Amino acid sequence: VNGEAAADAARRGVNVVSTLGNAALKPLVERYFESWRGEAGAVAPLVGAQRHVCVAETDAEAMAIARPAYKAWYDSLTSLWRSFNTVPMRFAESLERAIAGDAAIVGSPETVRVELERHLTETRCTYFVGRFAFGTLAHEDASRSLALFAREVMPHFRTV
Amino acid sequence: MLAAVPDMAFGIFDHVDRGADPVGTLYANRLALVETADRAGFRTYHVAEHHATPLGMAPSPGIFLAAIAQRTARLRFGPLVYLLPLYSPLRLIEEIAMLDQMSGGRFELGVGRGISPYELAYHGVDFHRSGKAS
Repeated sequence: VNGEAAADAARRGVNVVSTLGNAALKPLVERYFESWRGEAGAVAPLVGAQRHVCVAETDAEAMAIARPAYKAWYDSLTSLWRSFNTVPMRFAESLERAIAGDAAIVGSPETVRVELERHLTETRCTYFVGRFAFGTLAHEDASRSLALFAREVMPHFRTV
Repeated sequence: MLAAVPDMAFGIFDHVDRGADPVGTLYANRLALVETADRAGFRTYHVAEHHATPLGMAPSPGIFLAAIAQRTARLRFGPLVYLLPLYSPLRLIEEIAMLDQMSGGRFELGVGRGISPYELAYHGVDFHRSGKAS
């Protein structure tokens, strides 16, 4: 992904989503909107950030359930590549590194709300895409995480 | 609402990657989660396309999306992304049209080349020659 690709997507009026960290994503979002020329009344395109998300009642609980699940997801991500003695680029191999690199948001509803605001403020994205089910995360935990996110986090980013 | 950011749309991305459950249970659980997302106000569900890897247990995303079309009412959905080098263009257009009709216009198209040369190679496609359609 580069600036020219972002500009080309904007000129075509297509929505885009990226897994890049905030610092790398911000200039691409800026380039997209500099290049977007929507006609009057046009619906603004979606320019999105995609992150692993796990919400639980407490930060400690969220980290405890997300950590092994993320590791299982990462093992699946790299599985085929490792069969050919290589490793794909730029994906964090642990949950802690993913959080540090803006690839994951994990914690209590309050923690996730604050962290999500930071991601959106830093990138200026207009769309947020969460990965709520991944690796060995139990279905019940993923369902609860998604429900908490919808009830406790999403309303803070909407006017209606 | 937080003042620093505008009204946001929210979506879900899913590799449908292999977990601890049997594959049939994985599908059932993911479809149940999508139903929850439909009721919870998410805008769009995006499913990945991967091949020959535990990262993606829905290598035919259109089949998975057809099930979603029947189990949701408002949620938009689509592939993120269809791996274009692996499809006959007309065959893919027909699938897209079917999914859009089956869902009352909720289909959202995502297309790309893919990122894994190994996955394309299993289909006899040279990743380094896959950028342009012939």
